Amino acid sequence: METSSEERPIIEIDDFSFSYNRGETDTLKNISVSCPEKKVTAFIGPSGCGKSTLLRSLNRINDLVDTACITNGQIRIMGQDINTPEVDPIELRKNVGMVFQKYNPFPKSIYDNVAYGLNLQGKQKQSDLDDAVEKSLRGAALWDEVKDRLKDSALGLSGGQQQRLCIARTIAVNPKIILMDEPCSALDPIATAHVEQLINTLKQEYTIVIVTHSMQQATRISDNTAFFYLGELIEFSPTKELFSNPKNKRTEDYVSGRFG
Amino acid sequence: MQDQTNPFATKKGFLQTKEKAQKFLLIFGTYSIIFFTLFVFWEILSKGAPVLYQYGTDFITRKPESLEVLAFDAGDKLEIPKKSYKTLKTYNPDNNSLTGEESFDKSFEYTTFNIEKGSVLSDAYLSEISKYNKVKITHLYRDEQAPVVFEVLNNTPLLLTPALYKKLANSSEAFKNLSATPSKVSTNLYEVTFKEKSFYLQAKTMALLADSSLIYKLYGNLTDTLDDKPNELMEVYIPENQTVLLTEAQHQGYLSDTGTGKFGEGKLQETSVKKIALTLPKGSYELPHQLFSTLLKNHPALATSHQHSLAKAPLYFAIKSNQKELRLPNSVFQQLKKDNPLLKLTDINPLTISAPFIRFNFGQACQIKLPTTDMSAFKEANEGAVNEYGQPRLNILNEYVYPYSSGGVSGPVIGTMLLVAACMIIALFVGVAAAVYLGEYAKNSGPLISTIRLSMMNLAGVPSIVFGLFGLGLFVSVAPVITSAPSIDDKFKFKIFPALVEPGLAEIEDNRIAMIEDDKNPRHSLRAAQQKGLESFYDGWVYLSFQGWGNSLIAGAFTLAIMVLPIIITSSEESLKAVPKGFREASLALGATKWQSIRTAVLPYATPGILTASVLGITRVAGETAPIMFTAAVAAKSDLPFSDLSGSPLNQFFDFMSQSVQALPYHIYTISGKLPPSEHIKPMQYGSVLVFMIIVMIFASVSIWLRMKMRGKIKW
Amino acid sequence: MNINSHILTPFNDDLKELKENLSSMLTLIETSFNRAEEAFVNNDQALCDSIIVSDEAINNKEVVIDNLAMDILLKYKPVASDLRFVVSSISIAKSIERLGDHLCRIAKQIKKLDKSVLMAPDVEYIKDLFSLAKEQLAHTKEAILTHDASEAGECLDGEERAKETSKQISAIFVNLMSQDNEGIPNYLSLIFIARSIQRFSKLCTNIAEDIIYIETSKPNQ
Repeated sequence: METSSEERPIIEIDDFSFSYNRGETDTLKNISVSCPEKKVTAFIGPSGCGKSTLLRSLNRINDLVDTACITNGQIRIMGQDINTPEVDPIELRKNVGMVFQKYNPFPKSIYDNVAYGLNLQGKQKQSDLDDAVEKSLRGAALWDEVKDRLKDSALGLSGGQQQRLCIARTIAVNPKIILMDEPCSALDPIATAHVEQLINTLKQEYTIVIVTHSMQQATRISDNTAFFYLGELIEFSPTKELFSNPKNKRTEDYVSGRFG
Repeated sequence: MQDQTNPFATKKGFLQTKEKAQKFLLIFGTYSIIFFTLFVFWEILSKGAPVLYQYGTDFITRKPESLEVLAFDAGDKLEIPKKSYKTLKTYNPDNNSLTGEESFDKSFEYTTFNIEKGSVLSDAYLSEISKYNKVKITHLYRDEQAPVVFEVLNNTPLLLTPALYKKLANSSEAFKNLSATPSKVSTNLYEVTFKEKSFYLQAKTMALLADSSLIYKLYGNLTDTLDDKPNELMEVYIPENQTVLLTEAQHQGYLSDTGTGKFGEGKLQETSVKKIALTLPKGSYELPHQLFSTLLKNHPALATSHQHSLAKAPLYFAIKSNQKELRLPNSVFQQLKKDNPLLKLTDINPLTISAPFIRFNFGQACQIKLPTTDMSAFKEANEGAVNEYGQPRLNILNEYVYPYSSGGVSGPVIGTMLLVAACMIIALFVGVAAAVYLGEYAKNSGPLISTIRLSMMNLAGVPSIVFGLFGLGLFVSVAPVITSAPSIDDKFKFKIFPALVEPGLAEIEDNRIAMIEDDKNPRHSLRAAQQKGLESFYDGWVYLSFQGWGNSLIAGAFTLAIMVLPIIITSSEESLKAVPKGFREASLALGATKWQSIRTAVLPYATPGILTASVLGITRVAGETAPIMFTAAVAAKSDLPFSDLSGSPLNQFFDFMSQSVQALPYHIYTISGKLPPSEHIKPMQYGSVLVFMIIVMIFASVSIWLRMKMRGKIKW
Repeated sequence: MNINSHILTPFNDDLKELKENLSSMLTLIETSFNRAEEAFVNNDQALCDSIIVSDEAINNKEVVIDNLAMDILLKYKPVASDLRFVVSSISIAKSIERLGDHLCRIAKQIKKLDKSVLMAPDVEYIKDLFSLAKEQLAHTKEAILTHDASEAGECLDGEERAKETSKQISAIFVNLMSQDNEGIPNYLSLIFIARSIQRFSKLCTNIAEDIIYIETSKPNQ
């Protein structure tokens, strides 16, 4: 199991293999990665290498696919194997939030979007909801821009604001880990910069695992990077090392744009 | 040099013309559809709008009624209630012979009173009270021995059996004091033996023999033959040797028969019965009900004036009303008091009520038409009115009644709306649930789900009359009911738990319940009860009985719901699919369970599509006749569905749902197909059709408006 | 150049750090230069030694600046003025390092000087050169701190004069050398010192040109 730092890893992926077609072929082959707490870990690699699949296995949202199954290994989050029957996926997802590539706020008001996760857990006091919404919107660096129009429709915001709204929605339920699946790929550069700046502040409180196509993004915001290719983990090192002095030739070829 | 050719110019040729022709064809097809639709609409609009204009809102608010056409002589100082006068003007706009209108207030003398506990009344009088007051009457029990008062109109000679005379004498002073003479009445009876054989008898002889105890099999139709050719011979088969007693008349007829069925003269058996003869003078008498009904049943020649029921004894009852006191017109009140000696009244006060009336003259003999209710009010107002010559003011020359040719469509309209509403509630509930299951939970798993989908699509093509028969067979005949008084027939039933409440007297009588609670031999009693004509029984248990819901609103609603279900399910599934997958994923990623995610993040955004589907459903359902013909609709119903509900709210709801209703499509069918055509019924037809179309369009518009409002809120 | 408006604060911080490193490196040069001037006037051996020792710190600073610039290029892929700044910082750092080397040479030559036979007018010549170079250095430092192209422009103006003066002084010394055979080693040292100071000025001009390039994107004036 490769670790890249001395901090206690909050996510341990241990010899993990996964298949989308009931075990006929493996999409992920014997992956072992550890993500330390309150750091940003980036997964990079060409299209179809399995990085999104691995990310989605972390909050078991692959359970939606009927034919998906784990063919080997474990994923431990906070020390607990998440694929055992004792683990309730609902509780897991409250602790491991996810931000998607295509931002998808509900066609409700901004307030209702952020309060959605809390409302799922039962009727809440109005003042509690207000506080939580403000805290989340501040945490997502969106409060100043929307504090006067909390009841307006969320779809009236720009793309970058909507994605930050989705992030606010995710942190409103107080997860420990935030998974981000190419969160900036649908955004323009300014919006991307806003989101990256946000990630820089978020990593003080949350552990973040981000899948990204952009290597510059990985260098800018991540502490550790894992490079995947065709379902296998090729290299996992601190970001600076991986990009300036990669140990594996395939890593160097990919990051310098020689293939992929 | 300007000789550049335009590289993008249109190329001429056959392809262009074909293109133009196709475009023209499409335009023509579209506009011709619009044209024909407008033409049909115009036809209905032009014929129906004048009707609605003439009758005004009355058309919508009145129930369908018959039209009475009255021809009468000139007369003056005729009176009519003001409301009916307005109707008179509406229905007879061209009548010029109406003159001298003046309005006045006609006063009616009423009496107000209160009824004390422990009073006894006959049913007819109770319904009179209900007619004039808003009351709730609970029947307690009947007393056969309760005294009733009745009036004998003429001096009538009677021949009573000694037993009856004794009872009469014992219970009434008046009878005791009558001079009674014993007499003998002899009747001749002839004993005839019939042999097992086939033979011929004249029709009129058969009619006579029909009343005797002879068992025979007759070939042919007796009534028709009797009407056309009473002397014609009919074939009769006697299955076994029988000895029968014939009366004088029957014997005579038998002997004079010209057919082949003679067995010779019968043996004379003289019987004489002792009877008591007396003459009952005119006057009013009081008797216990049992005796009273026996007397009247056995002596139909006795002319009496009363409103008691011969079959049902007077009733102990409890009466509840929000009014401070009850009121009745004086005449009714007098009769009420006179005929019911056990009625305890308090606080009797006179009350004068005045109602606005119009007095007018008819200058010449003419013909007016009015709906039945107004006509009866008119006739009642002028009943007994005489002019200075002693002649009745209202001199009726001729009277015709045209069924269904007046009034309005309020009953059918309300019935249709109720059916549609109930049907859509059921269909949407079941349909959306099925769509959610098929679309979200089951997806494509297995042959069972594929079979369900396939059958659902086929269901959409089934003719509507098949649905009607299906509804008849399932909902009307064998649907389950939880009741403490299940029906006596052979349908499957089993006990659930002991009943808490016995049915009240009114229920027992209305629903014809046989009380067999403590019976040792229930099957025997049940069979006997069935023969007596009773429909249900009560034995102290609540049953789950598969006896069907009968012809009722709920059966109709379920049938229509099943008819519209395929549309709702397929459209709902499509709407659910149209909601982006990202919502479900986002919702799940925030820790929602599957149902929470569907309920909060998918269903609200699929609602516009589902509402659109309901538009299609409503327009289909509102116009269907065949399914409701067998399951819910009746041609005529006296009350609106909301009236006359009693009991706890739950009970009221069940009662409400289990009554049959009038429905607009069925009403249109009735007045167009089942009644003889006449000039009076045509306007009703067009008017009803126009109202029907307007209603359907209103339903559609409401749904469309709702959908637009929702779409404005949730674009994505 | 707007340093403070980047959305990503690390980007801002890194650019600021680069700039501060450059100016602190130049401060070290300034210190050494003043020491060299003083050492020449007072013939102070200890000062010369300290100049030679502090050159190591200057060299280390160049490595730091190089790494930082590479980092910024890798992470942020800067464009426009940011790119010119980062790329020019590398060459500026190199120039500053060579400034340091020249100061070392000056210090070594000062040590070799025989003060006893030094004539006052000769000292004056060198002192003039020192002043001119000091002016250049001051302009350069100002330009780096404020990124003001006009300051850099002044530096370029002063360059001509420095070159001329240096040429003249060298010619005088060569003349004197031919007349006075015993004083040749001293005069040679003086000539070397003058040349080093002139090269020093030239380097300051190079730095100024870089700064003009950062500001105006024109490679040379």
